[in-house]
Amino acid sequence: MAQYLLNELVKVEDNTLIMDGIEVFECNKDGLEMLKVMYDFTQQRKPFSLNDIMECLEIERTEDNVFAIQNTINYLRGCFIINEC
Amino acid sequence: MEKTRMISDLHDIYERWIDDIELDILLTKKCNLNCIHCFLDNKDGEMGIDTIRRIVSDEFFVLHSQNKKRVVNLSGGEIFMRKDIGEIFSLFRDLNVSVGCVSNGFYISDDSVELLEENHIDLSLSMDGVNEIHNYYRRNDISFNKLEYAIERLLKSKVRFGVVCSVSRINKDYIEEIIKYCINRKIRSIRFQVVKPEGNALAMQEDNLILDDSEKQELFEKLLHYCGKYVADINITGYGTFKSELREHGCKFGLKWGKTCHSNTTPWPKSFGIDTAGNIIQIHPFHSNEFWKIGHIDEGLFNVISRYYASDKHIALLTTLKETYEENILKSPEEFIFEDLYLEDKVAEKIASSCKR
Repeated sequence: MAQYLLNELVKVEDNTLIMDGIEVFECNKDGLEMLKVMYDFTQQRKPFSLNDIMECLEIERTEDNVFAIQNTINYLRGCFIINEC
Repeated sequence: MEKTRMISDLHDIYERWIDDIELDILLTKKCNLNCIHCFLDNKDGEMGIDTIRRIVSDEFFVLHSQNKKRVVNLSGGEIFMRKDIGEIFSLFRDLNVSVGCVSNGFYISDDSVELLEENHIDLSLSMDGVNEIHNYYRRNDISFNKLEYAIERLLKSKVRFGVVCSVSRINKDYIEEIIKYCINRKIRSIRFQVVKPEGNALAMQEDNLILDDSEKQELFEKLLHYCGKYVADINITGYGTFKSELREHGCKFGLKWGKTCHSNTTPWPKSFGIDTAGNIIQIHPFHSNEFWKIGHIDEGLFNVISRYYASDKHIALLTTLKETYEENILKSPEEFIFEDLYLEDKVAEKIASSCKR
């Protein structure tokens, strides 16, 4: 399964994701929780996968949840916010 | 000297370029509707089944598309008006490529869904608004009902499908409504494109319904916002991802590639079109200017595409792209983000005007 790390230039201020000083987008509550999980993994220099995120967030592996996480990962990858290892 | 270096760089990256090329095949111009924003102004013409057989048996597919990565899009007109659409789908089934098609949803039935499932074809449904706006675009009072039926039927199937929405002044203020409608229906992807003044849409331009530059910029900002806001619910695609990428990565728009690009991307064109008459065209099959035509299917698809690569015509495209970038963007860096989004249009205009001369 693919593994990722958060870009080192990413910060979250209030509810806005900022990369290299540029506001990328505003996150909702779920998005913020997911970013926190990614941030914690990255701080430990530990690449994370879709399964790792689901486990940390303690959410069930339903079709909707898998889509939500995978789509977020794909989007963040497209924005260079996370990188595949 | 620069041209020589460009040709040498192009040769270095040829194998990866040919592997990544996508194809857009215009199967028919016939349609049951006559939408106000249609890029076609004449609805005559259908690709012959022999031409389609020639395409699928070409070296391009037989020897160079073995990895399922290649994307082929079957478009129209309304492709489900073709009585032989099942046969066409089956011709593509064994090619080991990803095939998608576009439809207005009128002919989505148990039979057509079965064909899509059997042949593993993805579907994009055209949807330009909820209820009246969609019907207005279609000039047809029942088209939204038909679309809803198609969505319901597709949701019960295994077909991967999404929505494509064409934006003009008519629906620009209803973008979030369209996104929310899709989320409520559990539609997983939506792509936005702007209506361009071509085909039927020339009349929209006369009626002042095409987005102007500032409205396009506003739409871009909105889509960026919605991409983030609804990221857990739906995959929204449109112009690009986010601002720093646009500023830093000209590769997305064909300005950098190969060694000059941060991720060693391949150069433009990333796709080719084949029109109903079998002409092979750079980028997509709807450019009518002679410049965009690079050959005919009778000469062999792979032969034409390979011959085009690093040719004078290809170099002209890449050079025009670079010049347009320098003229339009470097001159006013503040406008960079906006201008960059429409670079392809500007290149097309520039090439079209030079061809007229």
